[in-house]
Amino acid sequence: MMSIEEIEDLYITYSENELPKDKRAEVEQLLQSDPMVREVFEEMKTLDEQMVEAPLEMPPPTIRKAFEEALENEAKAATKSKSIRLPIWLVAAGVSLLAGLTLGWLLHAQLGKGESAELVALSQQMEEMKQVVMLTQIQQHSASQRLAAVQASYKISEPNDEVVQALMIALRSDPSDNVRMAAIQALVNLAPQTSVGPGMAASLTAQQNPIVQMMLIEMLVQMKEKSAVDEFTKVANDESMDTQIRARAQQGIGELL
Amino acid sequence: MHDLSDEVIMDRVLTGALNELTELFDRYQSPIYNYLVKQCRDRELAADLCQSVFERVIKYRRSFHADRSFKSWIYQIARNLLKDHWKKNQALVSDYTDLNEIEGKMQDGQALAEERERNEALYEVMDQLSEERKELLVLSKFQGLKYEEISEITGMSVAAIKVNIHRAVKQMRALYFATT
Repeated sequence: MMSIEEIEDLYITYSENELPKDKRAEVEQLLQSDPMVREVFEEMKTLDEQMVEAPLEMPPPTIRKAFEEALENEAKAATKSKSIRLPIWLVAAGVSLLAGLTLGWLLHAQLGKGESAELVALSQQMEEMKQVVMLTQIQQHSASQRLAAVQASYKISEPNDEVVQALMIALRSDPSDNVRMAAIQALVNLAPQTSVGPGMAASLTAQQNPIVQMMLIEMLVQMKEKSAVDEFTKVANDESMDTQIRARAQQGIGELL
Repeated sequence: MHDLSDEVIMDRVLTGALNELTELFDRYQSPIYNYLVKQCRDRELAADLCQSVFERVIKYRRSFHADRSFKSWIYQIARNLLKDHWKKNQALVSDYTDLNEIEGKMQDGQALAEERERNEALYEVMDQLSEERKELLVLSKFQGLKYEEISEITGMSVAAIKVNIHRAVKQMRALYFATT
């Protein structure tokens, strides 16, 4: 006499077609002769059918609407980033500026060393002023002002340590995601001339927003920042983090090694 | 387009044909929504999560790798969102039972009402299983996924999945026929 559990096991192997032909015939015979086997099989079959044939629920139309909106926004964003076309007036202004600069360079070449030193000093002053303005603005209460400050740093050709430090602080702890993302971009621009990579990598685990995390990982991979491997490993092993981010970090390790 | 595999469509999406994601939305909207409804038994929450799944597909499309199955990838996204939600909201509230009862009383004839009752009993029994077994049962029986696909989604071995599903089915039989 078979136990209930044995009959259940038999049903599973029978229903999943895992029994050889002769064994199937034996089971079918058993089904005819043993009422207990028949009963358990019927119950298991009923349950199986009820699960497999459970009615599907119709998704509400709000899901499609949201999807279409998200797709449209994404398409717009993609088009925008692909085709930043300069207006004609700006091109014309650029041409004039270039002509002016060429003329200036020619004149400059004619001038003596004194005038040249003055120009260098003036340019340095301008640069320092930009840095001071940027450093003041980045401490403002308003997120839009801090964002403008970070973006202003894009124009600083040789940022001093204070500017780099301010951008690092913004990346690590600014409450606005937009400011942190702008800081990533600013630091990437500085990467060729300063060693910002390790600091950027170290800030990865401090980030909370998956979009910022993803952007940071992408940039560190693009920068080929090998010191990021340790941080990527931490992220890849951190079960509390978003799976997509963990997978990207894991993939990033492979790309950096 | 209808004959193309999910992965070929994703390849086209990644090379610029973003709108082709609509085809994948049409293919997976219902399965993913139903997976979420069965798992959380809360239609409103399932709709919100389903919406987020597709938003993530759009946003993170570049993290999809051609050597993977799109089906497993999208189920994985849905599963992670659900887990994140549960982690953040320990106290679960379900509107499923109430909705079923109200709809049952208002619209159904006798036969439909009986079917609803049977399904409700089934879901109540399922709720008594462990989260892991319930999930495997939903993926295997209700969603019709193969063991190999479930393995890709959950990271469990096929053998472990098989054993757990078999145990879940046996447990379900004992509970279901004790209550009906």
